[in-house]
Amino acid sequence: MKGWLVSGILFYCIFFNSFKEPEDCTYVFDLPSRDEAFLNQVYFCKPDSGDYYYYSVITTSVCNDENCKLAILKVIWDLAGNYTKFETLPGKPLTKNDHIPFTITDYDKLHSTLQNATSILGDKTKDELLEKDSLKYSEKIDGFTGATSKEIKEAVVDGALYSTYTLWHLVNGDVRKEIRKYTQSTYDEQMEAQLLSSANPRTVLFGLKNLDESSYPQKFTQLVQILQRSNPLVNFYITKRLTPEIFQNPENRAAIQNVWESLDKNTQSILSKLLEKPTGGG
Amino acid sequence: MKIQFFQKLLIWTITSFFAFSAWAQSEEDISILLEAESFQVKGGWLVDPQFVEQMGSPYLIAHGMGKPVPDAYTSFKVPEKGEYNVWVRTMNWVPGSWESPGSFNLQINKNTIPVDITSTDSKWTWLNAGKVKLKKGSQTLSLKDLTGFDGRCDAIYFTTSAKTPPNDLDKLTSWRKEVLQLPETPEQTEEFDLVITGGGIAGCAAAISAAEQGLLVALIHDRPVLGGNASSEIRVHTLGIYGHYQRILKMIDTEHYPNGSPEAKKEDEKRLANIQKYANIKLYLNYRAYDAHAENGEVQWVDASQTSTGERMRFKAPLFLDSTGDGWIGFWSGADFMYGRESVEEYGEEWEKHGELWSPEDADGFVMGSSVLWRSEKLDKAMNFPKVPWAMEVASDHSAANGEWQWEFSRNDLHQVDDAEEIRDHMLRAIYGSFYNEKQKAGNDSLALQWVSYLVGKRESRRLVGDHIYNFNDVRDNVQFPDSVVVEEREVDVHFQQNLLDPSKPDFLSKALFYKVGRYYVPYRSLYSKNINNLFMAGRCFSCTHIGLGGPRVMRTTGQMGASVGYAASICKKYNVSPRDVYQKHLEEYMQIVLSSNEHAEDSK
Repeated sequence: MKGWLVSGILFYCIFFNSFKEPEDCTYVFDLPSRDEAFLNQVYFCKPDSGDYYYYSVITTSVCNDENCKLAILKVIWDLAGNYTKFETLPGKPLTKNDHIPFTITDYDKLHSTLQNATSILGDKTKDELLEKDSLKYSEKIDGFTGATSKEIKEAVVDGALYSTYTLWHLVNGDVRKEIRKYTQSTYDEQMEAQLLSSANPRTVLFGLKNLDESSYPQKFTQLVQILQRSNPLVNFYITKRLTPEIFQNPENRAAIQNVWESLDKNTQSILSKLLEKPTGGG
Repeated sequence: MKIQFFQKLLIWTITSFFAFSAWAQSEEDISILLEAESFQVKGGWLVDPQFVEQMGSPYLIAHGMGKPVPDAYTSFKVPEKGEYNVWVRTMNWVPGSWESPGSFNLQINKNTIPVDITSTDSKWTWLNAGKVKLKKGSQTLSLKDLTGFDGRCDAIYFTTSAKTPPNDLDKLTSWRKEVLQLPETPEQTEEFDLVITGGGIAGCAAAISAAEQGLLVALIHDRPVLGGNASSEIRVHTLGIYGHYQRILKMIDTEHYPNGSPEAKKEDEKRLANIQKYANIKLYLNYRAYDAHAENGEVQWVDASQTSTGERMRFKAPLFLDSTGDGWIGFWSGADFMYGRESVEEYGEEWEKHGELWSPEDADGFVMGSSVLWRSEKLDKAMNFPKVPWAMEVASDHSAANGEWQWEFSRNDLHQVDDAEEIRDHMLRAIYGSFYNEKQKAGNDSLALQWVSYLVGKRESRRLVGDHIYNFNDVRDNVQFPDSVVVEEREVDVHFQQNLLDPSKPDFLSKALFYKVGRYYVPYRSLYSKNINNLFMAGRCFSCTHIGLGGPRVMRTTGQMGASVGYAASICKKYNVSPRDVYQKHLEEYMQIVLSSNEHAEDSK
C-alpha cells in the first residue's frame, strides 16, 4: 500500500510542476494534505474583471483503515477564506465505492457539504465516523455499510464517506485562517467592497470586522443594504455598533424606514429602540 | 383558616383632609385592599409569584389552557355601608384588535362587574371597574375567568376616595406597606446555621450535605414543590454526572424521561420525602425571599414572605447560600455580579468555528433563553380548541403538539430577569398558536393540551462573582484545580435562537452548539462571593462567564455545586471562618469531606 502511495505522490508532484497558474495569480502559501503527504500550493488571484479569489489544486490521500486512494480537485475560496466552489480536472473525476465516478448529484452534495462551514464533520475525528457499537467496515475503499449515524450520512456523499470527510477538513480547516491573514496583509478598498457585498454572511462578517466603527456613518447606505439582505446574526453585529446619533440624520432614519418590512424581528427590535419606534405586540 | 384569614384581611381606613376641596372640606375615606393571592378559595386560579420584583406582588392567574378555570372567591368585611370605587390591578397580556385573551369578571355578592381590560396596554395597572354600593358587614367576591387564557389579577381595592391608587412601582410598594400597615421588619425572626434561598437541585443538595454535617438549615423555596427546573412544574430532566456526590444527588435528581413528562411528579415526591428525612432541615415552601441586607460585607438576614398569605419571616444566620438562580440574595446584598455575554477577548473564549454565535466581538445581552415546556395528548373524544388570533403574530404558521427544550426565547433587548413575564407570555403565545395550527390538521380532532407550564424555566441570568470566574479556558484545557469540587464530562452546550441564522424560523426556537472536551472541573472558589464574605452561590448563578456556564448549568452538575457548598459551610461553622478561609486555611480537610461524600453516615436524619 505504502509503495503505491509513494508512486502516487511522485506522479502528482510531476503533474503539479506541469500545472500553470493563471498569470494574474500569485503563490501565497502551501496547504499540506491532512496526512502531510502532499503540499498543495495556494494562489491569490486578482483578475482584471470579477472578484478576487484564492485557489489551489489540491491532492490528498483518502484512506479508510485498510486502503488509500488519491483525490484531486481545484478548490476556490473567497477573500475571507470561505469555500466558494470546486472544479474537477480533466480525466480526474472523484470516485466512490469501488472507483465508481461521482454522479452530478454526488458533486452537488459535495459542494453543499463543503459550503457548510459548521458541518458535523468538523466535530468528528476520523474514528468517530463509524458508530463503535456497529462497526461494519466495507471492504471497498471509502465505503460504509450502514454503520454511520444518520446525521453523518446526511452530511456526506453516499458511498464517499472518507472523501467527503477528508476534503471538508482540508477546505474548511486552517486554510481559512491563512487566507484571512493574507487578505488582511494586502487589504484595500476593493477588497472591503467585495467582502461587504458578498452573499455569504460569514464573508460579510469578516468584512465588517475589518471595518472601523467610526466609518459607520459614512458607510451607512452600504450598511442598510447589508441589513436588508444578510442574516440576523450579521445584522445583530451591525446594530450593536449603531448609535442613536446616526439616526439624528433624517436621511438615515428614512433609509431604515424604507427597508423596515424586509428586516427580521431581532433587527427590528434593536433598531426600534434606536429609532424610538414601537415594535408592536410581542 | 378562617380566623387566620380575617387577621390577614386587609382593611385600611384612612382619613384625608382636603383643606381646599370644594366638595369635601373634611371627609373620612374608607378603603379595603384585597390581595388576590390571599383569596380563601383559589378555585382553578394559580398563585404566580415569579415576577414580584418587576410588578410588585404575587398574583392569581387563570391558566386553563383555553378552558375557563373555576372561580376564586373570598369573603371580606365592609366597616361602613357606602358607595365604593372598585379598582382592579391587572394587565392585558396581549393588547390588540382581538378580544383580550385574559378577560375575567368580578362578582360581588352575586352581582357581576365586568372588568374591561381591553383598553389597557401590557403594563400592570389599576383599572377602574366602576362603583358599587356595599352594605356594612360580610361580603363575597369572586373572580370569574372567561377564557382560560391566563387572565391575571393582583388585587382588588374598594375605596370611597376618588383617588387613583398608584401605578408607579416604587410608589405602589410604599403605598401597599402603608395600606397594609406593615411594620418595617417582619414579625417573626428565625436563626439558623445556614440559610439557603432557592430549593432547586443545587439548594436541595446543599441542604442535605450541610444537614448531614450537623448544621441547622433553612431551605426557603417560593413554590409548593422542590426541584426548580427539575420539578413537575417545569419538568426538565436532570443531566450531567454525579461527581463525588452520587449518594446525595440520587435522592433529588430525575430519571432521563423526555422533558415535559408527567413522570416528574414522582420525582417531586421522592425529593420531598428525602429532604423531610432530615430533622435539621427546616423547609419553607411557598416562601419567596424579597430582601437581603448586608453590613460590613456580610449578609445579616434574608426576608421572605408567604406567597399566598403575605406572612413575613426574617431568616438570620452566619452563612447564606444563594441558589435562587437569579442571584437575588447577592443582588440585594451588594455582591458583584455579571450578566450577558462577555466579549470574546475578555476571557479569550473564541471558538472560530462558530464565531459571533459563540462569543461576540463586543459584549451584549443576548444570553441563553428561558423555556416553557408543554405537551398534548389524544383523548377518546373530539376536543375543541378556540381560535387564538392574539397568538398568531408569534406562532405564524408553525405547528406542534408538544414543546421540548428547543422551545426557548431570548432577545438582545430582553433581560431574562427584568423581562421574564414578557418572555413567559411570548412563549405562551407561541404554544397556543402552534397548537391551534396543529389542531387544524386532519386527524387531530381529539388532540388536547394536557399540560403547559406557566413557569419560565430559565437557563441563564445573573451570575455572582467569586474568587474564580469559571470560563471556557478552564473547560477547554481541562484544568484541574486543588479545589476541584465539581467534575463534569457533558459537552459544553450553549444555545442560540434559530432565527439568528435563518430568519424564516420562529423566534421561539433555539439550537445548541456543543463543544466536546472530556472531563472538566469547577473550583470551589467559584462558589462563594468575592465581596460578600459569608455568601455562597450554587446553581446557574455561580461565578462564571456566559460560555463558562454552558457546561455546568445542567442540574446534576449544579447539584454537585450545592453539595460541595453544604460541606464548606460545615467547615465554616467548625472553625468559625469565612467561605474564603475554607480554601485558604482548611482545604485539605474540606477536600477530604468532599471526596468521601458517598461514604458519609447519614446520622443526622
